[in-house]
Amino acid sequence: MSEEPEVLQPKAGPALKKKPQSTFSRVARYTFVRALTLLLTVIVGVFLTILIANMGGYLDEIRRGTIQETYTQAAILNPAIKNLSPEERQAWIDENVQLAYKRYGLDKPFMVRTLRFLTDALTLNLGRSQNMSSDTGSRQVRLIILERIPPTLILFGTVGFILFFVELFFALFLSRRYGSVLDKVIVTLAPMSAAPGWFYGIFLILIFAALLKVLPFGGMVDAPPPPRWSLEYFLSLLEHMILPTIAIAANQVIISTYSWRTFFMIYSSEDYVEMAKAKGLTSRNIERRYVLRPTLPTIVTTFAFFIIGVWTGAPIFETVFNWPGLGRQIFQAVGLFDIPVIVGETVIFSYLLAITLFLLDFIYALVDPRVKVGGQGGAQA
Amino acid sequence: MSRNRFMLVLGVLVVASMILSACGGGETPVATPVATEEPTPPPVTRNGAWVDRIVFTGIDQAEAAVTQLQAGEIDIYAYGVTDADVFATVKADPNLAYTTAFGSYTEMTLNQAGPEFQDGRLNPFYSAKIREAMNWLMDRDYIAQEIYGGLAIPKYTSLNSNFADYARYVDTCRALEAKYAYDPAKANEIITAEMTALGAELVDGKWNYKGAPVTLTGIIRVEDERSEIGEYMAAQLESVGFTVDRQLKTMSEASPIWVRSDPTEGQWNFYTGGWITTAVSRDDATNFGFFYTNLGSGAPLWQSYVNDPAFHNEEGTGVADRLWVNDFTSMEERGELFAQALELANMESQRVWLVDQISFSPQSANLEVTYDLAGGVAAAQIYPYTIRFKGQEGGTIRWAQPAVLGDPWNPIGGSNWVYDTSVYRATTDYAAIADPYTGLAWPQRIESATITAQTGLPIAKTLDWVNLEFADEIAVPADAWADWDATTQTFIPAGDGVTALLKSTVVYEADLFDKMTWHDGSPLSIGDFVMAMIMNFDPAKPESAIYDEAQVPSLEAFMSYFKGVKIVSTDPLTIETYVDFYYLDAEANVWAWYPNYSYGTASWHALTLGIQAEADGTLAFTADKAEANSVEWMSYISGPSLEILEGYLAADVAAPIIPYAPTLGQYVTAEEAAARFANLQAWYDAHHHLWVGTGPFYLESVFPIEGSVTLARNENFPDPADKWARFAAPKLAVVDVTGPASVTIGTDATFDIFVTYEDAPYPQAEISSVAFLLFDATGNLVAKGEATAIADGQYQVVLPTTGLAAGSNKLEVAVTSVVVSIPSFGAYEFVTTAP
Repeated sequence: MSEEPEVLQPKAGPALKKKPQSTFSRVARYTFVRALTLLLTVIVGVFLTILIANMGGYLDEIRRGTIQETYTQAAILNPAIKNLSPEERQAWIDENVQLAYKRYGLDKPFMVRTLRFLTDALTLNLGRSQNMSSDTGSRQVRLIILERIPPTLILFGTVGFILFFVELFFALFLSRRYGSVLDKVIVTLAPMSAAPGWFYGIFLILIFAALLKVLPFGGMVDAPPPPRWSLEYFLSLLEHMILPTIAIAANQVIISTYSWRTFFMIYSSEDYVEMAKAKGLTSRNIERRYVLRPTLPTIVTTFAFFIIGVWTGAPIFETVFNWPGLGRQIFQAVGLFDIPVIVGETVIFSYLLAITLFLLDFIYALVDPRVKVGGQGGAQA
Repeated sequence: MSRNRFMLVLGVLVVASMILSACGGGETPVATPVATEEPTPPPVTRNGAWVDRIVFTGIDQAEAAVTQLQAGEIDIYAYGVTDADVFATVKADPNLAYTTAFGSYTEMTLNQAGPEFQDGRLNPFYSAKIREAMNWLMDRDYIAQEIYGGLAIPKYTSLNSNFADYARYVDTCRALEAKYAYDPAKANEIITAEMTALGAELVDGKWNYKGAPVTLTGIIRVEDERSEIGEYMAAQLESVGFTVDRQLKTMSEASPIWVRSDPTEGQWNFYTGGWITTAVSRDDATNFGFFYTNLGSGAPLWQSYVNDPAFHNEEGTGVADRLWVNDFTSMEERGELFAQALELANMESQRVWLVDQISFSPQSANLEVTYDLAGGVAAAQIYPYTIRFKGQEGGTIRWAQPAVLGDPWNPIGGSNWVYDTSVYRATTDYAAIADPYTGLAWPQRIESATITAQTGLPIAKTLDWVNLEFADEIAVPADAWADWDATTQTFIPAGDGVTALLKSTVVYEADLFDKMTWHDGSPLSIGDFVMAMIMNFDPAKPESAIYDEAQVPSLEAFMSYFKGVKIVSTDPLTIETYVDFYYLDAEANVWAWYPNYSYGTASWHALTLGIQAEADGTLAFTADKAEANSVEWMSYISGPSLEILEGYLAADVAAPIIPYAPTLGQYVTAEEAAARFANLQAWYDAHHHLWVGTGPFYLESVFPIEGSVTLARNENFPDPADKWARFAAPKLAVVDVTGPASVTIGTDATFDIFVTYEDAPYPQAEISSVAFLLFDATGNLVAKGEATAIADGQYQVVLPTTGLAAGSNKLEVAVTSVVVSIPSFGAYEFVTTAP
């Protein structure tokens, strides 16, 4: 007698075969959901920025107090106003205070202004600043930001770009020479990066500018600057970039190299790499096909974040080197409570971040065949 | 071998040199006498500025600037630095020098509401006696020396110890300083008595009221030394039994509390106040009304002030009220009011004055520059005329300041940042220029001036270039321009029967329009003056094409005292101005019209471009209007504005216009207009900006993003470079007092006073007063008076000692000068013995 073994699993009903989703609809659906999610995130982020920058509305009180104090002081600084009758002088103060309220929008409710800020920001209508002027004297937030992008890109973009690839290939080089003297030097010097770039900057300035007097203290070019677009201008720019570049490098190169080198070493010890070595492939081929390729998503991600990271600048570093970058500008905007500029810089960063994240999903799929946009299970973006 | 050759060559060289020296010269050197007198310097032939260029750059930090000064990278850091460590570095470096300024002052602002706040807490500062006791509780010397590192002077009254009124009433001020010297025991005694009277009790060394500790909330500013001062205040208050809640805040955070909150709410008890003056003040009479009474401001704090009626009352008969409206007929009467007001103000003590802060501006030791006693180098009108490298003509000065190019430059409503004004000031010339050491005006483009004041007004003159007259009635000519009709673009005459308190008649230099040119080469003309008069009114008139409500408050204030202006003659230019407003100094009452506006200088033709742009709504002069119309805030030097202004310039070159033609057209010809716009176009093509002045420097280049501005010497400037050389340094007197060390009571004692400047006697003509004060052994002022002049730089005091107690006495001498507002002091101690 034999019995049928007990089936512990529920009997399968009629198979509900799922209709395979077309690649287009899968990608389209994913794209839509991802874009919507990112947009909502941006909206929430910008809204929170506006609320925080306005201290939840308390900034209005601060502004009113500051305006009142400013015009009270102005009244005694101006002899013609100071010596008016009390009524006339108070009228002068009141009128100016009211004009200032109007200028800052304090004559409108806070929430109305907040929603207007939000709408304008999201539509990239960055509007006009409240206190700051651009370097050329414009109050358009767009220009305030745009004018500082070239100096920021020239220093942080160029230097960062070069250093990124130097670090990458140097790390790759080191990963193949684990335990070598050079490798040990890098490992030993890695803690150097604990000190920020501006810290090195101060010492570099003291040594090369104050003591040896061979390099400039700071600034973007000599003062007075040579004619723009001339060779002298370019050379002066290069000269002024030497110390900042060294400071950035001192802070960044070793730790980044160390980090990448460790990262590459992990991949270099994978079985398929060992197999490739055993097969007698050249080092160059191993690096390119078996190490670099699987690590590309990470490299691309790091590179993408480096690019958008340039946007935030480095306020202290720029101050030390007297560099007219975005970081100092943001710092100044925060100090002046210039909400439109703060919001403008934040919303652009938010959009850049969201777009980068969005694009990265697709880039991953392009550079790594294991990744499928909107795919179910396994590696997916 | 080679050694032999070397010796041969060497030998030949030695012999040759001996022969040559024997043959050379021919004349036996003769000892020439060493010159014992300095050679007379050759006459200065250079006109305009001493230097060729000034390059402005920004450096945020004073420490970094001093490092660059030491490295020779910059020549001056034109900013008021207050860091004592940096000051020590500068003083220790022989290659560096510095100038000082005294514009900032700090105080302890007290909340007078009470005796209880709305929630029932006791406010000790309701009591005037406790407020006054704070004067004895605060050790001003400690604050000046320890907190400010010596960069401050103890301050006991609202008068700045470096300005004119302090010098005028130095005897009263010094007596008050002696009275309110640091005495914590006395403060404690008064506070104990008053607190007890208010119903508080001392429990375990802490004041309690209704069972709870008396907690004082201190709003302490954190941006500067006031954070330490606040801590010190708190510690001193704790030392006499108060509990202190320290609230550390920035200006922005503190303002809503101390300025705007209702004092009766008790959000604060004391605040670390700070004030600033940017020019030497000649008249501080309104300080009492401003700082201690509700006349000062409509803000809740001021409106909460309750005063002794003798100080301030609603009828306006208190001493502060009378000083507020200059209700006195002579300087002697004013002096009496000041003496009372100073005394009463300290008894009121809504503010307890602590120190006059000294800031310094470091520079290279080989640089010479005039500085304003209040505003420093950057605020001195006169610096562009005097700045130079010592003993040198030409060169480029590298001028650093915390920033450059803060806001757009336009003359009507542009940047007011000191970092901008310090630059564009050098492109400006003036009809009268402010004395950096006294605040008095000196003529720059004026031949003569006459002030006619209504009889009885307490106006006096100091300098000879002004004539001062008095008249019982000053009639305003019926055809004087009193207002502006923006519709017809004509001035409105004053009409008949109008009178004024004061008339200023200014006769300009006869060759003014021949020698003065704008930087673009256009000659200065009467049109520029008329345009300045028009622009005083037009932007604030609703009918104007460039109406701007932001301009209205200023015009309303102006119209409250302006009665009319009349151009009496154009050759030489003579202008009469009639006003119901006056200053005590005749020099300050000179209405020196010149095409300078609130925010810089401008010719009528350069201004026309801006007027056209504003009328078309493409740009705006003021930030307010730019904001309201969502257009660019006009800049004459950079940015998107330039493109727009350039368009108007091109159009005006093609078809020259005269703005406000019904009025300006009477003073400007079509030919002049055409030539001027052509000149401006050529200027723009060469320099790429439209900032054109008449000053000793012109704006050569602007690099906004790189943060650099360059000014170059205006070679057409007519004055010799040494015109204002006498202002190279303030003539601060040195006072030395000598006399007997011991005096028998009852005999006369004679003391000699020597007043010098750079070891030479200080000319008597430049001394306005040598006052003496005698303090007895207990520090009480027992005698005061004026010393007798013996000769230049020598004075004498003969003191009858009858009535003095035996002991150590101090004779203090205060010297006030005509040429510098800072008084100088000397002291001598002597012993009186019983006969």
